[in-house]
Amino acid sequence: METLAPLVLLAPLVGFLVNALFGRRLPRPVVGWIGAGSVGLGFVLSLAILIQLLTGAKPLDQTYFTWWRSGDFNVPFNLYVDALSTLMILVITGVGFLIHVYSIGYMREDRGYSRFFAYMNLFVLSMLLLVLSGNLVWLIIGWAGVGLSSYLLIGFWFERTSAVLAARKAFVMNTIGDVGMIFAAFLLFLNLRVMDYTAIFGRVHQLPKGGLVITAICLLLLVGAVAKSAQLPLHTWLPDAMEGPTPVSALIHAATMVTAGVYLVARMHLLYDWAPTAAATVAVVGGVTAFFAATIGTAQVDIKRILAYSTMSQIGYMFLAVGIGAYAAGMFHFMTHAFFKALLFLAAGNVIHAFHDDQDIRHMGNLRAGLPITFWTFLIGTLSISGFPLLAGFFSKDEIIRSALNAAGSEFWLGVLALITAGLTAYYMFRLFFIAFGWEWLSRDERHLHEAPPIQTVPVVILATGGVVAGYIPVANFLSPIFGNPVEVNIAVVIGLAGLSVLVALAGFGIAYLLHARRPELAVAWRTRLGPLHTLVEHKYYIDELYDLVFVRPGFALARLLNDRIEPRVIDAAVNGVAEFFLVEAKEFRLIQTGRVRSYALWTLGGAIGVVLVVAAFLGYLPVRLG
Amino acid sequence: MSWYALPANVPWLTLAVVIPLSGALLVALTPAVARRVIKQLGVLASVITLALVLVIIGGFQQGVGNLHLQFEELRQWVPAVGISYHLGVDGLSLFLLGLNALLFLIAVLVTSSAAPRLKQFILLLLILEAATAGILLSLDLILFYVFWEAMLVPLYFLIGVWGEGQRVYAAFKFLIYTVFGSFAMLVAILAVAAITFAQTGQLSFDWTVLVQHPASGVWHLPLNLGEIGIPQLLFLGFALAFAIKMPLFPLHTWLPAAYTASPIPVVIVFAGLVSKLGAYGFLRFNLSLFPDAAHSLGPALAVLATTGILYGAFMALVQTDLKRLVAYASMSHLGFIGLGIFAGNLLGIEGALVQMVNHGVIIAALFLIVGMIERRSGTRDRAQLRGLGASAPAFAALFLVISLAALGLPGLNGFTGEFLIMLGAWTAFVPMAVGAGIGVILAAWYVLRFYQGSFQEAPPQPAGFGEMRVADAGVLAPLLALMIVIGVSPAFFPAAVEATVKALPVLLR
Repeated sequence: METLAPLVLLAPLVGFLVNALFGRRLPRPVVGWIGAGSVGLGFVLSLAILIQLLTGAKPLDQTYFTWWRSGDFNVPFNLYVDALSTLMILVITGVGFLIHVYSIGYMREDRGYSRFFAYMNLFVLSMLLLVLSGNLVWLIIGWAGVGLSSYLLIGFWFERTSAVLAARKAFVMNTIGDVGMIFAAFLLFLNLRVMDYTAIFGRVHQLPKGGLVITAICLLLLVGAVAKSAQLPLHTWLPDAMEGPTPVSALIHAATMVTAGVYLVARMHLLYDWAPTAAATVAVVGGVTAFFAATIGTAQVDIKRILAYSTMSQIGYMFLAVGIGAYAAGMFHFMTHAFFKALLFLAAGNVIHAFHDDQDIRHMGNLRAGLPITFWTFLIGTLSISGFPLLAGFFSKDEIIRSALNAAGSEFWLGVLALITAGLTAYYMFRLFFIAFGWEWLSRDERHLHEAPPIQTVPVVILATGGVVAGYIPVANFLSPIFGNPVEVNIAVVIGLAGLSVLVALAGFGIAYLLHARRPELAVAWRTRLGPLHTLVEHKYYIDELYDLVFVRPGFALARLLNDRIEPRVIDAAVNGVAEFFLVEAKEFRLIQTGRVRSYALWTLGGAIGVVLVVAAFLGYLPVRLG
Repeated sequence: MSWYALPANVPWLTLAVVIPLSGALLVALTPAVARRVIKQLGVLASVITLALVLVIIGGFQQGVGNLHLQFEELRQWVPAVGISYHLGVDGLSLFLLGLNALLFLIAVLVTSSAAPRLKQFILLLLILEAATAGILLSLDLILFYVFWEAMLVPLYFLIGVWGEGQRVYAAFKFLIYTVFGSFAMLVAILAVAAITFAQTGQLSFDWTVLVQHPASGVWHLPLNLGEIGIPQLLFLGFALAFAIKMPLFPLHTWLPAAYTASPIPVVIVFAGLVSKLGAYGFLRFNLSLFPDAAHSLGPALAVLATTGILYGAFMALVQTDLKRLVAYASMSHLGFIGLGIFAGNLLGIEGALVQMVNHGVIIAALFLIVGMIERRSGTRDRAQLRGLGASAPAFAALFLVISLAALGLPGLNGFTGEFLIMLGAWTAFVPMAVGAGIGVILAAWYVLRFYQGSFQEAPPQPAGFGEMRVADAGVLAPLLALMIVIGVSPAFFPAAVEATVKALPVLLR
């Protein structure tokens, strides 16, 4: 395993380097298959690691070289492979591979073909580094690499101003998170004197439980997690991130990036168990974000934007899970979500292509006849995310809701919120489905639509299969060496709660059916009736505008104040004032400015005399007491 | 480190000063019309110097030598007053010496053979290289002062004669500032020798002597105005010179004018190296000779350094002239170096040391990029540049890597230094580290505005922007390599400097 783990990283690294350095001179199919193949190779290697783990191999913590060693500050480059990181790399490379294959078709006309695959491989590489790193510094390096790759891909079409701005926004917000992580690493090091996971986990119990230090560490880590996973309040970059090509959205939302925050909390679960306040904060952030994003999702008309808010909401579920200590449930939902969300985005990509890059769901329709494969797979994804019984999303989401409702105290209310959110999820997903995919399948639509080629439908079908069956994979058992054995729950409770959540989802489905399929005029009526509330939700609660007002504008105002007033009129004026004081009068100052070398000599002479005087004074005439 | 042992009977360090000077002499003897010969002589002298310095770095052994100094050369100069010709290299100066040689080679390489008065230009560059090498190697305070002043003269002419815009004003402002600081330092140098003489009966300007006899005492101000520690006073004398040279906020106002006026080859060594000599001076003198004062005055200076980080970052955000923008970015980054130094602990100082090299590498690369942009498009005004990446993808890619290093992306060199500096600062004074963290976020903002504003969006302006040529990329290549190596695997750095830093009086106290 100690050779397999670095090879998992090496595969996309080589793919990245080849495509970045030589991609423009290689034929397109070669570029595409190097890009996809390197990730596919990573998946095969990950499978080999999985087999080793399943056949009883010990988890790995292997150091390969030293990054910095000085005093007791010792940062190695070490890889940490256990069930958790293995699950992550399987999803990253597996789902990532399918997205890469899809991209071979989706991006075939694009000018920046090789650049695209280079960036995609860099993305996968960074994410793999993030989950395989065995210490905080390399975690941060992978973490920032993910931020960089997302920046590059969001801004992939760099001629578009909107893409450029969205990319910059994502980068700066991610940097805020990076700084939080860096500070968390500082606090960990200064209190435990170590940087690698094994030692941190071994020593964390030396800190007082629930104390200020461990709580601060966990909250600072949460800042990083929130920024990367687009949770409140650092979420505003994610909806804009759809400026990138659609496969990028699939990669960001399903296989990589936004799940990093969930992984971080799960990886650091010993710390969060030791800081109950911080863990509760994670749960609240998750629960509230899940609900908040779902409400916004109900009022959007851009297909990718709706899916983006649904990601935010589903990641919120995962945060809720890891916040209340249901780590395995959170990771389970991460896996099922990876399947159905990648499927939804890739299918949406096919739809967007069919409508010539129009993303407004109100302009779509007639998809069952035109794009049958995309239609049926999208329906599977919609059912899965909505919690249709026996599909993947049903199992994983139910487990989170059940864990929350089972918990005592305030977490119970988060469970209730999660249950309501489940209803909202069914509503906004079926609203999307009915409007875009078409209740119009009953009416006639004359538009001729073309189904995507097999290279874009086969990956979607495979993902759809996953979206159906992934719920039967015993993730909790696989992760039990890390998070302990799953708690036995009374089967009656399981069935009862499942029934409840199905009812809630059915309610959401029913309202969507009524408003957007059966009687669309009712939807119009309700929108007018809700008036300001609808506007508020439609405008994402005006949080972008708020940040602009509170941070961006004052920042620029301050910068302009410094540049236009403070620097020339205060600081430089003071300096010139001092100069004038020494030179007696300004006229002389100007005079000296013109007589370059002569004045230098003059200064030297004057200064030297001064020096002699001062030294003489020092030695003889001033009341200096020595020693 | 140390891959081999160098023969001890060769004056290695003197050679590092003499070779550029010999180059200068040969250039002086060459007729001014033989432009190609002059440039080739300049390149040759810088290449040999770089090779020599690399040999020295390779032969440097950690933890060896008196006070960890190696390749020492000691000769009497003016024995009557204890002045000697004393050179040596240790962890503080080792890699800066390498940076010195690398940046001067690049500066000579990017000097156009068609430049006006090429002969004098190359001549002054080589003299400047000898002076800066001398500053890094001097272990006698008077010798140091001589090199320090010697650096000023070629720099003054390089800006004043070959500069652009308000070059005379800029050069003069820089001169006045620096001379002001230099005199304060000279007074402090004389005073520290005098006080040590009074305390020990031995008159010496030798750093290795002074460092073992830290000055003490209190000066009672006349008229019962209170008292002030002698070490604090001496500390401030040195500090003024170095704070101006770095520059430390608020002594920076010469910087934007001087950097903007300097031609590209000059600004590469000016911003890339000369500014670091101020930081080096703080380590070599302030923190070594006056450890107590460093502890009492460090926090105040750290506040100034952090202010500089934020001030420079905000200023960089609104600059329209790309050279000015990089100048303020440089100031912000130097604030980090100051913060690490004034944190006064192992990791802070090691971070500052590695960041000095990083800053030189990054700022030189940024100014090279600005120069290439200006040469191709005829302007440095950001408002007149847009979408250049469309016609120059390779240029865009290299510029992006440099930008990422500049904004401190983890995995590239800027992060390595900033991480250690902030960790050191966090240990010493948490609010300063938080301020620096805000600086990191602002850096992402202004660097991306710089990169995206000139290379992205559409339509391209000016049209037909030329792609990077092999020669341009070749000049950037060593800088890019250092960005990646120091970001990914910098362990060689502490392996070489740790012993020296651990022995610094400011840490031992």
